Amino acid sequence: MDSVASADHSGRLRLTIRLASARVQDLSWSFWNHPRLSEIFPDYLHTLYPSMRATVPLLELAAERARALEETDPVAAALVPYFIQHAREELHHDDWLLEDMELLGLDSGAAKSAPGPPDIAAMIGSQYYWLHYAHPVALLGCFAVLEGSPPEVEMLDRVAERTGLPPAALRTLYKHAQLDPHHRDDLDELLDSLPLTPEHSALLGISALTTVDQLGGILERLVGAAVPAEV
Amino acid sequence: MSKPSEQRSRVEWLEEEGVLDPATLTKEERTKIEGLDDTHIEHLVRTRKKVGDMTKRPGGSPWIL
Repeated sequence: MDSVASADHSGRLRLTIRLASARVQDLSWSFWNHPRLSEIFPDYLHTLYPSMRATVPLLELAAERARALEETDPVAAALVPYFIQHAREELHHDDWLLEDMELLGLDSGAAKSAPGPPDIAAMIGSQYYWLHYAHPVALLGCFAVLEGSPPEVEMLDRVAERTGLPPAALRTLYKHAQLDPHHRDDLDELLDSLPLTPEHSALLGISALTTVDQLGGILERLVGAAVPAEV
Repeated sequence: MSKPSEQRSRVEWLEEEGVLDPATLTKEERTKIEGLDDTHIEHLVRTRKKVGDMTKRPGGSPWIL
């Protein structure tokens, strides 16, 4: 397979995501500005936690899959250290969220034992599928979306002020407002260093676009304002 | 869903399908879109839920890892 001529893989992926993200951006805006945000916030955290707890296991599986391919696959070889390092960086973020939930009086034990909503299982499950049956590079498309547009500090400040939610209970969100731009840059740097083939790029983009669609569905549920599908 | 051809650019295709308002694009973005993968353009057209411009709304996404 020939590698894609230009090394601006990150630029093309970011543009593809941006083209697809109008719905997610609108829903994100509707979420942060929801008139009953404090009421839907527990549901949000109960939806976010099952997604966050899957991050490190996904990265560990991706590292394992990449390691299995690395002898004959230079892209997989380059992914191994990234996945291992990123799994270290993401460690215990789900525990932070559980602590935030407890500050809000939510039952973290119940959150841990809950199976998770179907839309989260579908979003995370898609990545397991591609890890098993395609190539671990697919996971980068998902992470490019989910780490690509973190909450902004100014918005979190406004949310705390408007809703009365204690800023301490938003600690995990505040931390990601600072951490994720660096993770996004690391991912972009990695993408531009990879000898991606057109097949890798296609998988990367489809993983990202699927994640955008799935995230839109999740946010739509949370906001409770389903947009009728176009006929 | 018709596909782009030598007579029709990807930007024109997306505009005709109502996915994109080219007025919101920079020249550099227009050039980049022409280099995107056909499967991704097809996905955008097939799955669009609404016509949206590319102006970024502030605040970020509530999703984190």
